[in-house]
Amino acid sequence: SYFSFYVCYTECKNKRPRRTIKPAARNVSKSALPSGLDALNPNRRTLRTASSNRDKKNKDKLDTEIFELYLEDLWKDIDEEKRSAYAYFDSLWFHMYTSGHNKSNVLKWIKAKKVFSRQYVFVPIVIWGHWNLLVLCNFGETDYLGTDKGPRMLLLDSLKTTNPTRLRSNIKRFIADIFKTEEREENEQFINKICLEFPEVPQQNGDECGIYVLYFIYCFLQNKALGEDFSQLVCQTFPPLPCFPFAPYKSYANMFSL
Amino acid sequence: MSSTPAAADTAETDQADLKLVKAEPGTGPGLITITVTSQTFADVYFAIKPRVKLRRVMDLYCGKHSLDPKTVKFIDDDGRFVRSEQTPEEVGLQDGSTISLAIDQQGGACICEN
Repeated sequence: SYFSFYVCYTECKNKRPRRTIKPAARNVSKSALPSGLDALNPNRRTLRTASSNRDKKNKDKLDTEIFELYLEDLWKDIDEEKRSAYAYFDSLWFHMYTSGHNKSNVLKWIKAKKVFSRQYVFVPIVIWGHWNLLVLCNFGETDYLGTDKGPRMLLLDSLKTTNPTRLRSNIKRFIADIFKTEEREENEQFINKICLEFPEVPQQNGDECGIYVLYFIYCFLQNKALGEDFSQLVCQTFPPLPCFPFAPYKSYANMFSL
Repeated sequence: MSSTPAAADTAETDQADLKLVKAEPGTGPGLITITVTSQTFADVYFAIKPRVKLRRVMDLYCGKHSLDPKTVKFIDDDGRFVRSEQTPEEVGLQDGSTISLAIDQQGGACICEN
């Protein structure tokens, strides 16, 4: 069956002229590309040393693969009522949106999440090598704009020494496109009135901002009352970090040989 | 599985060509065409059976562009991640479907203490 697949691959390959293609990452190996037969050889794949923008020094940093698996597990543990009231975006969507690639696709996927019928929507943001968590609160409650029950945005950043407002323009453009995709009647004045807040959250010690983002989502999910006032949420939601269950994260790290 | 003889493979390829010329989905001998798109590479077309694992497509694509399969992620048209153990039938891919490539991101900024 390998031979049959290779024949199909050759057929598809011959239908398109070969072009000079720029590699995606600077660290990609400069050696010649492997031929089709080499790509099909299982032993040769293990010899490939090319990797994109990471090396051994980045072992401890959290990447999107582990983040997604862990967030899926967090989502399984909550009850049905919260699962319908909350939603989360994939961690790659914001990066794909800001880089311009697949922007329309990302907005289509976001529309399927039904942002305006959720109480909280978690948007993990990994950009410029740093994790943040954007929480969209009560976006469907447009009549309560300006009050505690109205729509608002929280940017939870565990590294406050960097400038947290550098993401503001990206987030504003992101929210405006979400409104446009949903064909909402609110105009740009309304969107500008949705305030972006930077609440005080526990700060990280090392380079574990990704774990802190998972921890923030975990604290939101552990909140018992669905309709709790957010002003109380700031004080009560974030207990010290040792409360966070680290064991599943370690198992994922072992799974991927990090 | 038993390997099919070369003559049958050639006939299968001819059938695939006929299917592509007619441009009718589902009329061939079970082959579907999948397009893999990305921001930096040209589109790549794969002909594959719906019950074959997508690991082959991913490994071929990563080998063609010298990518480490661990550092990329494949996303289908509905925005869901495609695992390498899944088959096109499980993912819901049909003839002419598209898979997008995204490079995995990392985050680990920290304070530099002097």
